[in-house]
Amino acid sequence: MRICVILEGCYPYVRGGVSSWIHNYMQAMPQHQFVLWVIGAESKNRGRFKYDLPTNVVEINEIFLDDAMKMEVNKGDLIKFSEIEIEAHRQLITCENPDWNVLFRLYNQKQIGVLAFLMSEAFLNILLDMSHERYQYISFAELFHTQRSMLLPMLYIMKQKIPNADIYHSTSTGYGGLLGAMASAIKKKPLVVTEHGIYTREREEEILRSTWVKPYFKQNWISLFYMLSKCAYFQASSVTSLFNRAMHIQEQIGCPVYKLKVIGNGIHFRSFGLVPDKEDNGFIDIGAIVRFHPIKDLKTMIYSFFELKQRVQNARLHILGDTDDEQYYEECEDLIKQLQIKDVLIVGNTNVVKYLSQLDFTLLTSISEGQPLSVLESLAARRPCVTTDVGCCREILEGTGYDTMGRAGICVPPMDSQAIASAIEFLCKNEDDRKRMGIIGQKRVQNSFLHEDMVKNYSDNYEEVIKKWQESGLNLSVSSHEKDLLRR
Amino acid sequence: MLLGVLLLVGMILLAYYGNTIKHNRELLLSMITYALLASLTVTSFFTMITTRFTADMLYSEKKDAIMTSFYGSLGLMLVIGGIGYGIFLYFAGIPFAYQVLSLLLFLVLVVVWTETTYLTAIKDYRSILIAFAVSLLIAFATGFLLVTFTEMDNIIVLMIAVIIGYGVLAGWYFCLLYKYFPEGFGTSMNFLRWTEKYPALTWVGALITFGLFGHLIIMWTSPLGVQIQGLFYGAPQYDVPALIAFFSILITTVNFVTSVEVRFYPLYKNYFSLFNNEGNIGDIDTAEVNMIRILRDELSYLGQKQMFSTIIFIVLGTILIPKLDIGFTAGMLGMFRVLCVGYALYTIANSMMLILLYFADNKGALWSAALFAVVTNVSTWILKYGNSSYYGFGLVIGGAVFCIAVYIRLNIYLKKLKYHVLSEQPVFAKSAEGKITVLCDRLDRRAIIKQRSRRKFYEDNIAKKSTVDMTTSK
Repeated sequence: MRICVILEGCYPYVRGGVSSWIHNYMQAMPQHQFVLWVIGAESKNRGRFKYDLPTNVVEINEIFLDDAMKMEVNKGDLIKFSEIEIEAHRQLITCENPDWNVLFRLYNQKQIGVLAFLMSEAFLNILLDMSHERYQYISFAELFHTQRSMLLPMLYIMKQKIPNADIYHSTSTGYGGLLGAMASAIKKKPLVVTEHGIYTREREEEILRSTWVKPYFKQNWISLFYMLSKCAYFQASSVTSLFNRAMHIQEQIGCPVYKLKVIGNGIHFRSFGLVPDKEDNGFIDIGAIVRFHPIKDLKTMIYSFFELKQRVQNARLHILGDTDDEQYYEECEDLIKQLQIKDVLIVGNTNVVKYLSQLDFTLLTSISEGQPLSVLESLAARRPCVTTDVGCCREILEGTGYDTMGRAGICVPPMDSQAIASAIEFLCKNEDDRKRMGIIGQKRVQNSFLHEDMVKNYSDNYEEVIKKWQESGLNLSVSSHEKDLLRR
Repeated sequence: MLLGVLLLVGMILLAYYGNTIKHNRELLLSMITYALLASLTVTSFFTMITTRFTADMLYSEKKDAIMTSFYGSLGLMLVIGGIGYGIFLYFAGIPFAYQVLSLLLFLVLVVVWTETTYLTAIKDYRSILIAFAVSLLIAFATGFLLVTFTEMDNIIVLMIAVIIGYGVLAGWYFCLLYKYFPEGFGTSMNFLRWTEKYPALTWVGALITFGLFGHLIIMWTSPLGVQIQGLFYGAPQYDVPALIAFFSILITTVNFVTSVEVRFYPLYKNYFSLFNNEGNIGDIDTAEVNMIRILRDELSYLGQKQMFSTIIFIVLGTILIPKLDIGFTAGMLGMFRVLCVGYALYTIANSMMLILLYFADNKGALWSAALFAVVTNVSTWILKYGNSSYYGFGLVIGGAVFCIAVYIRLNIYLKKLKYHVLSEQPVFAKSAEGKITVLCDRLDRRAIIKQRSRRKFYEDNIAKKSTVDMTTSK
């Protein structure tokens, strides 16, 4: 089977949870061919891969959002839109429920100019109506330019050439989901969407926290991402998530229930299970297997460790991971110097399996997570975790349903440096509890989070999706709305 | 142009007063006319560009770029125009003294027209008029005194008077410019970037000039044309009525500045500032409605006033001109009346075209100016072979077509004003990177280095020396 995997802002440019997951995932399915369709922010990263691509990756198609700025208007691009096309654009701009097939046909098949639309009367007229209805007191010029910047990346990626595949698998909604939906609609092949974190909620949190988005446009941006999620959900044949809570959120956002499925993460248990216990060196070594990115909230981690050092002098913090955001990395370094904290080691990218043998337990202070592989790997190596209560961290550490083995770590509220420091202090000072939690954690991972199980579940899902797709005869030219109506 | 025509008419009257023979009067008229037309043609290629450049520099508060552009544009025009006109004069078949004076007059006129462009960009019309009035008086006085009290060739003395008059004007205008604009920085050719940024503007001024004066030159080749001397041709029976009819548009030239711009400009500025300063859609709609309403009212009043003045001018001219006893025939009176109408149509259309330029519709201005130039000249060419009662109708047809074209264009443009203001702007800002821009970048870098080292030299040596001298003297 030829599987086109669509990735946004991760593999193969960034080392991290999702990147490692997909890398191992493809290697675990040597019987399939993989085509990568990847979206990055900056074209300077073209070809600069942080991973050696597996041999069953037969093609890679790179899209960079900053290449949208290189587009030019050609005279032949100017087009007169029909009423249906104008209505589709209107619904796109107001982030309602556009007829995506009309838009895919215009931008991908007819290749109409993006800039020609953004400079057209149709676009202006839609904005004038929108401004009179919703933004009477907002600067019109600002609305105009904001809408241009919102639509530009979307319309640009819609023009990209679709690689051929038997099935398309988006690893997020957002722009990746949009590409998957477009590929599925045009190539008449099934789409699977897998969400590690809930993309829409993550964007929503970022936008609400951001200072660069004006308050009166924040809802508009959030609505855009909800619209993109619904586009992917409606076109997809199967929508998977890592845990139940995530699945419920997908349902709330608007995914039809019958498409939803939970397929948890899995790790290579054997290599982590054989990590020996740490030798006593007089220090309590705490590991943080994270990349330098604001979502991982390393600043709270640093404040927590500063607080901890007042109480536990022999504690050391090891930060293992790549730098995603150079500016954020420098801010963290400055914070460490400003607080004059000792015993913070920034290790960078390293062999995590080997390094775990030097750690007592691990720490994760993210603001948002899905089912973090770093926590599963830590538990597999009998290192309990202190994590923030995000994603399914609590489920992993405390178990769910019939799993009554007990706690494998401590879950605390996010951004609460005092609570985090107290939790770390507990593990530092209670060696027996630490070791007991480590054993529980290892058992839990062995029971529920094995890589082989995960790969089988996804493989079975592909077959089920393709079989249903072929049987239903819905690989004809039918719009996604009609498909859902037919199914109901 | 009106300044030039007034001075010309004044010199002709002085020539009559000095009992200059007909041939010499005609040669004088022809030499001044040629110098006027040649200087207006040369400057017309740069007028719109330098006006737009100056306006943009004033808006972005880069006043130090303006004087350098003045020197640069003037330098180019004096060199190119001077060489071209000098070659023409060399072969023109007139005495050397006349050649020198004609060339001097041409060069001074180029300076004056260029200075006027810069001064009108800052809207100091009062200073322009005062300087002009004084220079006119000096020219007339000089001419009168020289004609009365010297035995010199009247052509020479009157040419000297004109050159002195324009020379005083040039000097006065230069002082005004120096008062407003600081000493420049960077290359004096920076303004040439605007020819790549707004290529249409380069041709708008030139096409208007071709339309406005082309019919005169074409009539020199008509049955009315005479060879005055050498390469100096004329058609006095057409030229004189045309010159007098040209005064009939004075009212519109003044009215555009005192009424149209005074009432329209603040609303125009307010409208565009709403786009820059966070105006909401309600404010923008209201501002647009008000601005367009005032504009339509003002243009309508302008048209009515012009038509009314044209009628008065025709009536008064028909009564008074024959009484002047300057050889006006019935045919010339007829041409005068027709040309009054032609100029009226031209000036109304030109006012509307200037409004198009206000809204940066350079293409619209270019097409309408091109229509005016082509239709006027082609019609004049065709009609010159016909009955003399049709002479002048070329300008009328050209003016009418110009009027209709620019009226339609302005209406269409204003209906979609927001589209032109916002949507037509490129999605990404991209600077023009043509050959001229690249050349200007290189010249700019070199000029800045030279100016900085000159400034440093002054600061290190001359300023220090004067400090030492002061200390020593104490």
